[in-house]
Amino acid sequence: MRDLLLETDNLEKRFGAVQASKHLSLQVARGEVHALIGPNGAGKTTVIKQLAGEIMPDAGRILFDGQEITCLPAHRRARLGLARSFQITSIFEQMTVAENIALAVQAHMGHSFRFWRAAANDRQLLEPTESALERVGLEQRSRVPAASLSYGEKRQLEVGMALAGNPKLLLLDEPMAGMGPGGTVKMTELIQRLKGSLTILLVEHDMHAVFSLADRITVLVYGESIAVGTAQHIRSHPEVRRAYLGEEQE
Amino acid sequence: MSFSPFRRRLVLGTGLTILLLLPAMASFAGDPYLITLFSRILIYALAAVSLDLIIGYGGMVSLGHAAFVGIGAYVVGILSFHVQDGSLLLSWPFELQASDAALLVWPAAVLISALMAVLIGSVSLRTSGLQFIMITLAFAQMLFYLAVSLEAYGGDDGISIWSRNRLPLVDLSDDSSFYYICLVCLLVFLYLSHRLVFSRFGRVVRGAKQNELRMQSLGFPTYRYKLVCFSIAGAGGGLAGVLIANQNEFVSPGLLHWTHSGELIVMVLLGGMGTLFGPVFGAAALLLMEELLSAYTEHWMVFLGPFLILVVLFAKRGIYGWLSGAGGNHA
Amino acid sequence: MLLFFEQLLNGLQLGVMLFLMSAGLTLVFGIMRVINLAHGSLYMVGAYVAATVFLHSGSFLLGLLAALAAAGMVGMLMELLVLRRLYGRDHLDQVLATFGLILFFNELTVVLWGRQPLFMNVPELLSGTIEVIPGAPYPSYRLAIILAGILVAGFLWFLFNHTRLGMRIRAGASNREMIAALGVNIKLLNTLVFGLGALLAGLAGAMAGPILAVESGMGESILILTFVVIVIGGIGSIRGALIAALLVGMVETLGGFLLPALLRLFLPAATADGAGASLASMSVYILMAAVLVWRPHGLFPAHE
Repeated sequence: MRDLLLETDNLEKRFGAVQASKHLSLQVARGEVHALIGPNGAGKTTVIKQLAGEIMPDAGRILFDGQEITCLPAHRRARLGLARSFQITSIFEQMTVAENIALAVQAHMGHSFRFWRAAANDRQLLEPTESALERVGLEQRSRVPAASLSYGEKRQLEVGMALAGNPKLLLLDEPMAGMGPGGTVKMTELIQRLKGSLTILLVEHDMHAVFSLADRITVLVYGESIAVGTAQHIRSHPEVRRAYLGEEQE
Repeated sequence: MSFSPFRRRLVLGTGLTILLLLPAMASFAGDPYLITLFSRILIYALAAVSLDLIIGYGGMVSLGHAAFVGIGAYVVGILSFHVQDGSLLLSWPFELQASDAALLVWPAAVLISALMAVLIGSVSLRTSGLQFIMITLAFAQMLFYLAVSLEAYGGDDGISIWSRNRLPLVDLSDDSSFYYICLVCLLVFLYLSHRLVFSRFGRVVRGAKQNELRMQSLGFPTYRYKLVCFSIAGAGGGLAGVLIANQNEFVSPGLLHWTHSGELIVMVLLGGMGTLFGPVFGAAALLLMEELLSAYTEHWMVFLGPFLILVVLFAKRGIYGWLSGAGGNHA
Repeated sequence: MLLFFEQLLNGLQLGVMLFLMSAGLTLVFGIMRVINLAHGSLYMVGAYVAATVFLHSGSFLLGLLAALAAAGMVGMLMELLVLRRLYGRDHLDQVLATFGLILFFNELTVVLWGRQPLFMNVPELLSGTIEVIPGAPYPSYRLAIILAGILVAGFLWFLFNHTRLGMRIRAGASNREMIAALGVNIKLLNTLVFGLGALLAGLAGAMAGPILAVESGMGESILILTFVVIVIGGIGSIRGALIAALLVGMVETLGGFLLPALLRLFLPAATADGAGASLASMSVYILMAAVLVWRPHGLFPAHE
């Protein structure tokens, strides 16, 4: 049995008449890049939200690093090492780039009921902030207000914030969304660099990126997992071709 | 955004100089009422700064801040009532003597206001947006009715305080000394708030204002941080209440009335939301305007109302932002 | 026991008033996402106009109609001049601007009518009492209020369930994007909804005239209870407003009656009356806090 970092056991989630997750059992091994793909409306973001703790499943269990986290609130999961980036850029626009990252660093350094010392000169925050900035290639932009970054840079910052706490698992919700070809290449390189140092669950529409990055792929259709396997395996899977790739090949 | 440190220092320096020299200027001008008026301004500034901590930095629009001002004032009033009366504050479960020593009464009042803020905040902060506004309003109103129903303490009519609290070395009944005590309280609170806003805690609170969901996914239990911020603001409001009770030598349910909360919001926005010093300018502007307009007409509110609407629609940066060229959330 | 029934009717009557106030306001919240503190001012306008016209013409009906017209018009003007500019802005801006409106209206009534409260008589026709329950005469005017409330509730039910306009408004209150998708003229719809809310507030004010003193600032105490109703009922929900209004009306009225009696069972009479009165005045807010701990979005949230 391989070493699983994240496992879901028969997740169920309904929104009214729509079944967003159906008997969903997902397995992410430690150290792999696992991609979650599927046509629009397949329930990919719903899965991410359930894993991150933003919505609670109707039934089923979620195990993370050997611990059941099904009912834990989002902030507790983050503390356990489960970080996520958002599909729609979700950064603190009124703060500088460095402050954005520093907040993420701060979240993993014990409580923040520290009322006195100025956070901007806090040595304990500065060093990890700088290294996180370097990891996503934003070290030149650290003093710039986040609002004035370019779109691609905002996406980098988005991922940088998720990385700053040295998570065990990174949930990337469409990191390439809305990017031009140049940005996509840059982001692919970034994820490639991260590969091996942590586990990544990647939701992405850019199939080129998915096939070049993912160790294994799970295909989701109408909330249900219809196939799991390597890129090779998925490409040739008949059901996948019919349900999914067939529609995508214009 | 034009941000000039020099202009900012000039504005703050001028303001501070005026406040420091005010009693001297008042006696030079032969108008002791100025001292009373400016003491009032300082006290309301303190209340407004504390409100700005939650509105401007924490994004929690409370329409019930006057409740904490009222609680602080009532603690002073009730204690002084018992001191005057010679009766015990509590006879059960243990006997407790009332006191009028400022060093005892003031911290107690501030603490009680903060605890009430924890209580009110813990329910209110389960909601956000419109509901939060209405709930804070409703809680304040609840305490207002509680104060009205306190027959033993004057009910509707409130409590007259026979003498201001006692402080060693300083005679609070002297208006100039009292003025300086108010100034010290305001400056200390401003300094504490300054530390707070730029600390790790302050960053978390500002982050929660901008994007609460993201803060949670980063690992912050935002509710707790907001609650602590809410109660710190409550403590500030309580201190302002303590000073008001001492200045007026009178407390009444009117202090807790929701229009009073509304006025505090006006001060914050008028001065500049999310700036530490803005609310001080806002308090000064509103109270001075009230003073000037009411000299001309008793119906000055007919003009104040539309003026507020114009401020909202066209002058969002507030007086401080306009004077110093600074936008919100920087200082 | 008879006293209890009388209090029950009083609670019902307060509930009806609260429903009239909250039905419009909850729609304004739901559709326009705007907090309007000046809703109580429309109630006040209704009361003042009704009282004045009634005093001069001697006709209650004329007073009532004038009040409706005045409140509706003032409401639509308010929307056109001020609130329209606040949609989509920070709630804080809305609070401040509508707080400005309150100050303006309160002072304006003082300028126009003076600080002395106006007193308005109950119309001749309704000045008697009716024995709804044998042995307990109840003022027919208050019964008329209850009846009016039932009629309005019926009218609103018809409007929102059986007319195109009403269904669109309701759709908008639960999903704002829906309205744009349906191709409705949003500006006009907003003004209409606001006017309807103002009309109902004016009606409540005019009917309150003979029961309460008509004075500057009279709109605020009912406004705050209205907020409580809306929060309990769930923002944007008419059904929630109706149920919560009756609930709040009952708790407010019966609390003042029952709590002191209840406390007398195990406290000395004087203490019980004092504590009972304070508890009673706080009971509505305690109810609200309890509901929110249980359901943070109210009993019948229209959104989600």
